[in-house]
Amino acid sequence: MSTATDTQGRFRVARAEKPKIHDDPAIDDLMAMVASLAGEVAVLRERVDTHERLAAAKDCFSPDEVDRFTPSAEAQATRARLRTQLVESVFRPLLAPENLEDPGSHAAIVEEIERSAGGM
Amino acid sequence: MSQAHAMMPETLHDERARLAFIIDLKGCLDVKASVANAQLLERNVMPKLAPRDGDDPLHAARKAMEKELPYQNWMTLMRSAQQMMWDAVGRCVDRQYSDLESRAGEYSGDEQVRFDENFEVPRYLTAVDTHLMPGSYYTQRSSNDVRQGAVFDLAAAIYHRGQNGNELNDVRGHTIVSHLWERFPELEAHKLLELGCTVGHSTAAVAGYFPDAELHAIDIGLPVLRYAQARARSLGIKNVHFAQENAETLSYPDASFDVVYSSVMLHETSAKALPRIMSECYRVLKPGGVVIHLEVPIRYESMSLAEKLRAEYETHYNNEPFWRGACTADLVGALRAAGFEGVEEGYQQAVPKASRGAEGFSSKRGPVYACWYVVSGRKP
Repeated sequence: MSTATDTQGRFRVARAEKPKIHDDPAIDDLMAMVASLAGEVAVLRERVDTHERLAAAKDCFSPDEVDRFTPSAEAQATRARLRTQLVESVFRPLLAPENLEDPGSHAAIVEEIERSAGGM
Repeated sequence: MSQAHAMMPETLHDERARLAFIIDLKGCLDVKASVANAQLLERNVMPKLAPRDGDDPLHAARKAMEKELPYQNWMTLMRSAQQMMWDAVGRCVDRQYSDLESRAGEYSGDEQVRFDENFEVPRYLTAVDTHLMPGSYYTQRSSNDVRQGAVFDLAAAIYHRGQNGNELNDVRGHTIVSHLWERFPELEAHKLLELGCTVGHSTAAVAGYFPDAELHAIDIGLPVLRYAQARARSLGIKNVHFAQENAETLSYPDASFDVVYSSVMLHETSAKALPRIMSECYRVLKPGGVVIHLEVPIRYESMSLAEKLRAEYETHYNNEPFWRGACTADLVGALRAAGFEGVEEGYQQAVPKASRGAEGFSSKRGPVYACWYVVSGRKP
């Protein structure tokens, strides 16, 4: 086919064989995600920089005031909560306690439930 | 943000920040990592390699490097950065697409890019999406679609980090004319043909030197051609006619042109296509006419193992399947086989503006962007 009428899907992913670069292919995807995440951090940081410059230009507050800003006790408490939430959600897979609720083999449970005689 | 030409997609604050990050990441990977890769190759890999007679040492080195974790990390980030670039550019274009299409319609008016309903995009361009650009040069959603042209134009504007003429991306076009005037100063160019013009970066530059001439610019991709036409008209360029054609089988009659040229197009074809393209260049040129092919200054015969390894990455992991092929092809031989005389190859100094009497063509290779590989000849 020489031309293709198309949905947006064709424009999101390149026609390419997905290479297997690291010994564990999960690492390839993980690094790709980290690279994108770093990009989004860069974008946010630049937007904050713009905010500060505009605020300074309009005499609202200066970047220096941001540097010297001392959060109130209430602000500190709020921020501590936000940080805890962020750490817990980002590192959830690593921080989850030893699986106390591990019921053993899931496949075995399915088999048991599907068994018509003597099942659950 | 002021633009070099009216078709260029606009970028908003966060889009610019994202693209700047991606380009800086690419720069970091290319410069610093290339040094580290060369060291890894020399210190860790080469001493352990014991290729057997008959083994290709480059292949053995590449396979050994690809087992090294630092090199694996580099490859993954290279691929990620390229995909991120197309993704960020694509989303930026999609945000404003209807405006872009309207604007293209205004600049082109009733003028259509010539095309043939039975045209087949060659397999070397449909097998994989060139340089990981989703949809490549040819995918279109309608007969007005210019999306792929806009995506390519915006990506090219940032990819070269200003080294090919900022947003106009036209240093290669000026360099081609520089080569023409240096090697063939007496040639009068009344009719010119560009092969593989994409969005017309080089075309616009060349057209400016020959305002009374008739230029034809062809490509296999309709959306990039439509964009090229609108872009050229927005720049006030009226003497270029855009058409969908395959350089292997041109529709033009014999002896039609004074000059046939291409700008970094050959490496996106194939070993089978190359001799056909050279034959077609010969056929459509008038006696005394000139062919000029500009390419990346990356010739395997003059590169170190580390440099070749970098080129191998393009071939195997950046969807440039003919990169190595083009960089090892005997292009001089191919032009001679097609019947050309006075065939020479070398490196042309890159210039933002061509001037007569300048001497920029030599066998001395310089860095990419500072020079381009050129091979040229004359039809007797």
